[in-house]
Amino acid sequence: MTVAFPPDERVLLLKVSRGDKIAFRQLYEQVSPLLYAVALRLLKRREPAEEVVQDVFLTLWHAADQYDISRGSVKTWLSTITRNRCIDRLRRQPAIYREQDTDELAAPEQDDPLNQALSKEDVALLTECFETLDEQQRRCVSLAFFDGMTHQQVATSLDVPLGSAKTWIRRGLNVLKKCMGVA
Amino acid sequence: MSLSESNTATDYPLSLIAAQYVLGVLSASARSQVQTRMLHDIALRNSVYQWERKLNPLASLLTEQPVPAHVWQAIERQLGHAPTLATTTPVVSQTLTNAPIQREATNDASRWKLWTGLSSAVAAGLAFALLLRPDAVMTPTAPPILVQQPAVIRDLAVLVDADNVPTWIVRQQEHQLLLSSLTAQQIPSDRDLELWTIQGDQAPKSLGVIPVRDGQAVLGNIADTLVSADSVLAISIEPKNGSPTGAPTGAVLFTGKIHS
Repeated sequence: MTVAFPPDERVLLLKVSRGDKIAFRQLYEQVSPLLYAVALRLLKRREPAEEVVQDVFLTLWHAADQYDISRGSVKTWLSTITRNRCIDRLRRQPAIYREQDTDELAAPEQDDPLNQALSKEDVALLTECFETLDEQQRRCVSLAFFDGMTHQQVATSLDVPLGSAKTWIRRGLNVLKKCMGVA
Repeated sequence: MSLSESNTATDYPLSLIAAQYVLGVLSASARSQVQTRMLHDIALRNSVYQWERKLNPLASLLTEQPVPAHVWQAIERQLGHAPTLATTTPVVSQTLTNAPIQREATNDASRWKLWTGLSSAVAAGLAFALLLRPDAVMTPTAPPILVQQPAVIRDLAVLVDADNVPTWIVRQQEHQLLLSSLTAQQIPSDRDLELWTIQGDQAPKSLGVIPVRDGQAVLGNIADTLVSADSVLAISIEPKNGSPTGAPTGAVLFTGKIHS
């Protein structure tokens, strides 16, 4: 009996650090669709999202040996890099990414990805923890994480005072901290 | 808005500052301050890393989006690489020879330093699940693929050699073990590698001869009880088709503990 399974991303990354172009391509094919989804969701526009994915992989080619297992799985590590670059863009040039300027084709994602959590076994603990949040906390965290909103933007989006949004986020993070065992 | 203005003043719990940074909710100036502080504040940096590891797997909830072809083309162009075809070459080339088993030279110790923590990372419960995607691993030389429904694959163990260099990653998918070699290996044509499980003081039990192909192998019909937590996996080199005695007869080359 034979079975197909994706090459382990850590194996691929190790090979990339040795200059293996085939492994680089394989890792790109395995990971880039998720990174692109992350960037599209945050930036809402195709062109900058493509630029970020491109930039992440250009960096990866030169710095694959910088991967630190303590940062999580390869996919989580690359998602983190992608998110950080997108959020930095959002903060540096917020006007460019205003909603009215967005590519309406670029963000086909569901409104709240947290609604999908129950069907994803690989985030079982996260799902369990998010279920302990109340609706306001959960909505705030989702808007911040998936859409890159600041406290102020979350407050505006939900049409609530800034203080309320800050409080809900702070309480939500405290709940998650305990549930997920963050020190 | 500054760091303090956005409710992340220095008297704020460090973990909450880190959490808000990772969540992405901080303003431009507050975010910049955290990034600057992370350069010299090890506690903050570690807290950020911890939150990233815990929170950022959330990103996998997003539906993956096909990336336009020109993105990869631009990457190759900027790196000066010749165009490559999609996944047409095995990850690890396997050559069977009569030469003694030996690992490909890996003299660059620095490339390994971060990887030596793999075993302990698995111990720390860093296992992550991958969804099966047969299309991502097809190669012209690969055996026929039996397409299965997506199933969770979990990290089981990392086997190291006598020098404590991680050499095999072992994952489990239902009743199958998936082995991936971190190094290209040459196995004499008259020899095979065999996987064993050792539980407590019991004698090693064979999990089967490892049918290595392109640096990967699948072993089926593995009972969960044989790969329970705290068991030890070991790979020995044996005569063709495995040990004739039911116990390891050749040198044990790689070992690793299974973690929950």
